[in-house]
Amino acid sequence: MVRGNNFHIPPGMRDWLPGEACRKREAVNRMLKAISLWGYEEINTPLMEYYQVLLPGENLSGSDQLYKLTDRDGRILALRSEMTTPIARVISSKLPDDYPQRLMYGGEVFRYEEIQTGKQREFCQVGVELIGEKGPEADSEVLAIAIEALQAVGLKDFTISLGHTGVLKSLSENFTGNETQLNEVRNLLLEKDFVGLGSCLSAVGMKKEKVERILGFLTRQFSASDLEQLQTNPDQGQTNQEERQEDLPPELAEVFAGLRQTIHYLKLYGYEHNIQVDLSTLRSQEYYTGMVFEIYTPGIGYPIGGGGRYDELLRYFGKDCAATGFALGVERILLSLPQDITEKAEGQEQASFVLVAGTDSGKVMERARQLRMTGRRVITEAEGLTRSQAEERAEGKGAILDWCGEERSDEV
Amino acid sequence: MKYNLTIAMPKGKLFEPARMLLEKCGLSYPGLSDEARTLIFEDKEKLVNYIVCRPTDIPTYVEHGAADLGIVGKDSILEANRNLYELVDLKFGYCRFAAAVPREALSADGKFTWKQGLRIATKFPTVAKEYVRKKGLQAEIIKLHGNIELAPRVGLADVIVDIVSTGRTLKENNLVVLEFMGEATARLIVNRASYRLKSKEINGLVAEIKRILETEGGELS
Repeated sequence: MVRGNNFHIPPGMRDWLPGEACRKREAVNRMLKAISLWGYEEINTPLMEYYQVLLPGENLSGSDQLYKLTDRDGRILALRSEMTTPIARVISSKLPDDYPQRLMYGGEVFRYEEIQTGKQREFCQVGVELIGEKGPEADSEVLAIAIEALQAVGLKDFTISLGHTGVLKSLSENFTGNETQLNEVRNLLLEKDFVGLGSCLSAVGMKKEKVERILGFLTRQFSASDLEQLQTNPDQGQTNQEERQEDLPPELAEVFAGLRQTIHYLKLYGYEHNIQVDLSTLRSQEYYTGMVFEIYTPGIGYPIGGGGRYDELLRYFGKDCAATGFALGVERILLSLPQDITEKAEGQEQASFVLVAGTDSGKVMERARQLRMTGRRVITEAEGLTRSQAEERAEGKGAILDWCGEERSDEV
Repeated sequence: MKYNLTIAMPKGKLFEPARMLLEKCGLSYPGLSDEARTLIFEDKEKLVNYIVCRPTDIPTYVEHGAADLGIVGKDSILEANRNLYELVDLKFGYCRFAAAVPREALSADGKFTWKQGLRIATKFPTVAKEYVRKKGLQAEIIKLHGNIELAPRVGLADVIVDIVSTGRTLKENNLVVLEFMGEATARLIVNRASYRLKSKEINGLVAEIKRILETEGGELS
């Protein structure tokens, strides 16, 4: 009996039909392959975890976005909403203290997004975690891997916006307001409400020129070469009043120094052109402690990936260990790729089926076995079709007919 | 200058000041109007596309990247609660959020007693819910699409939450403001990805807008 609800799936979930599913798997495989070339090993964790384990991955200023359920003992479980926190749990509890650890993953995560925004609630992430390495070399390694993973699926035009959580920290150190106001500053910066941020900073007594200058730096994007120019600016600034305004606010100097180092290594990889520094880049997860980044591509209004350094997260699980990583959103990447990118690569040969049919079932099966051993994809039709019926069916499926009958065609 | 941008323009009272502001930035397009049948205008010379749409939809267009930039009131931004970047306060289109009740609902000394379970009619359910939550009240929010001031007169609601610019509509409908809960002006909003990928064009336009706002002050409002 068919009931009204039987065809529905929960909001934010989707079916992957033939073709789509293959394209997605192909993209995931290619990215993992590219990442594995850097010596990363795959890890997998359960879809479901205890609720409190996953909490550090959530933005705690709002309500969490976890799908929750209870097990039969009444404990609260949740579907993983990202992979970094579960992996941090594994590292702290199951892996030897043998650092650095290079781990990669590809899997589904669940996030209870507002459905009206058109986002999916189940989505696939491919990413890496580089555990136990401090410093700009490690940061630039994960950035370079992200770039190569995207190139591996054929994405060419993308920009990585690089920021640093130190922006907020240095703002807060020079901040005279209270905790609530500081939280507000964080949220305003996260939402990129620069209008609100400006009035909030003014409200806690920051001078107008200073507010303008900090906002100026927060809303500017710097290419790798802009960053170099900034470095030399202070000397010139002393002779030239005009350029003073352009000088780095001392609050941001440390952050810039760190980012410059990361970019220095990226240059060695030859990837500095994919990067721009944007100090307003922040991630919603609160576990980030250093550089953070988001990846953008034309035509997609959201980031297609992001990541950063999270040196404190492992402490939550009782280990004190530096870490950095990223996650790429597979669905969003697929949206930004031309439709046929994976089909072409698969090759015409492999893509098309062979339909083996004939009057003698034994011969049909034997012939099919032979073809499969050569790597062909074979469908059999042993139900006594005439040759013309078989031809028709093959054409309908876009398959090549291999007839094993009296008038058997010789080759495929 | 070529911009290669799509700008979402709000229909209605914000349209004219928004159009004038862009015109002063050198972005004028003959025939750009919110009353024409056309909703898309293509300036092939400067490579700017204008989309004319309802203010409440502008945050959606911009969030999804259908438009790179949008000009819209803070009221619509607050209500839409979208993931987008707010770059410039354009200063025009000033209004305030207010909670108002019929005059006869006030006590003799002009006070209003909040009771649990009041009905609040509003175009801004998100804003109204937040207001009610902050006051620690329970209330039933009734979403309407316009002419909110009608609701208390016909017994649909006890309180309204709406934007007020001059206060004339309230007065004409015998409503009094209980309290103001925030101000709103028009803002320039931008899509997250466009902000990164078209930063040069966007920052060029933003600088121009800021320069004009500085020199002309409040003249636009």
